[in-house]
Amino acid sequence: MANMRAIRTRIKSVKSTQQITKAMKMVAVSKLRRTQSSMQAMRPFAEKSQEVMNTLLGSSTGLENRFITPHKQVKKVCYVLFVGNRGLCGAYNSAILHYANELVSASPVEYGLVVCGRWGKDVIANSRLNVIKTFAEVSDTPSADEALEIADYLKSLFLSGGYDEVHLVYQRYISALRQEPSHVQLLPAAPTAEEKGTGKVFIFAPDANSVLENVMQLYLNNKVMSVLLDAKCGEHSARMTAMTAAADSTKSLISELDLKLNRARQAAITTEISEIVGGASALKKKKK
Amino acid sequence: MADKIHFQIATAGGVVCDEMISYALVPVADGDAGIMAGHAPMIAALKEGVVKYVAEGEEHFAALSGGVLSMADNELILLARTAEKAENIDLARAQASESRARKRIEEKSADIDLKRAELSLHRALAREKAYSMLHK
Repeated sequence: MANMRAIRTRIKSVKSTQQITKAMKMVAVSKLRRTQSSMQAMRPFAEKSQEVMNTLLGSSTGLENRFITPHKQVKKVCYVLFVGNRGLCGAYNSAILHYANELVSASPVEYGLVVCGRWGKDVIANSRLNVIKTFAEVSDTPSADEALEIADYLKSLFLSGGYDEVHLVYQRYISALRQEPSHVQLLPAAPTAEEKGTGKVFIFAPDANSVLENVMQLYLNNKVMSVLLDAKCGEHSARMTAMTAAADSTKSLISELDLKLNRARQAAITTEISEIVGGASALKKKKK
Repeated sequence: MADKIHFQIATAGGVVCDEMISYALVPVADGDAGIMAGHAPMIAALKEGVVKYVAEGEEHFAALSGGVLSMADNELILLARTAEKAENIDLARAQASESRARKRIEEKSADIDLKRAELSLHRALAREKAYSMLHK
């Protein structure tokens, strides 16, 4: 029967889709694990930097730094949008784009957008946002060098006076099932001393301000790196969730189609039997 | 072990080195600083260069590119933008990036690029120096 053949083809194609979604899920799981382990790798560095920052801010006053001093007037703001590298991860990308759109339309001053990630070249172009640069080569498990490149670019934007504020817009990773669109201000930076210094008297070489300059460089690189890793963790877990859901629904679709196939087969057999029985009884009548 | 320092080099990519050492020569902003156990608490700006440290009587080298040094309670921590141990340095790659940086400096496209090129030149030179110090 033509109907049965159609159902069989359908089952075949759904099965191959199921395989793809399962494979993508596995890939997302392993990438998520790798991203999380690089998050762990940077933790000692982040903690120590914060410690040095605490000592520095706690022990001297009147420090000045070009990354901390705000520009006199805020005329142009730069938003850095962290999107994924591809789709198939639920509402991850569109949600953050929507959030950025709202942010931008609410902002009273001129803005420029820096996009990190390969996703949505066309979608972002169609949304008529003012994109000034795209970092399309961000890998799925970003290394420190990639974060450095982005951080250096953002610093130069701020220092050249082209932009007066730099904000990072990304999906904050809360749990494997939940990410939340959020934004933080990168520049001008407002580093905080979490606690007072240890009370020790430190020698600053050559002086506190030049140390602060170096600390700030590290601090900013750090921040960009951690946001990048956060966003990537979110992307992988969103994809994981989406692919799990897709694999599950292919499963139920296949069982539904199986049922249909069986019904169609049964119906075909029933018709055949009733045809034979009908034919046989017609012959019997003739003989009589 | 009062005569030993707990020595760490940490970058955003991970901890590069974590050892007990007796002496370190670190490139700080105003020259090289030699550090031994019992050094006064110090926080200093690092510049690109080679750090030499002695662990169990053996000299080791690592290339650094900028960062901060923190020394307190016989704990010496170098927080660096990037860091590589000399034995992990790929000389051919360092030389390639050196010539690339030199070319860019000659071309002088824009001043921001120039600064970045100079930085990467310093980094490449530091890597080469660390390599040659290890293999001399």
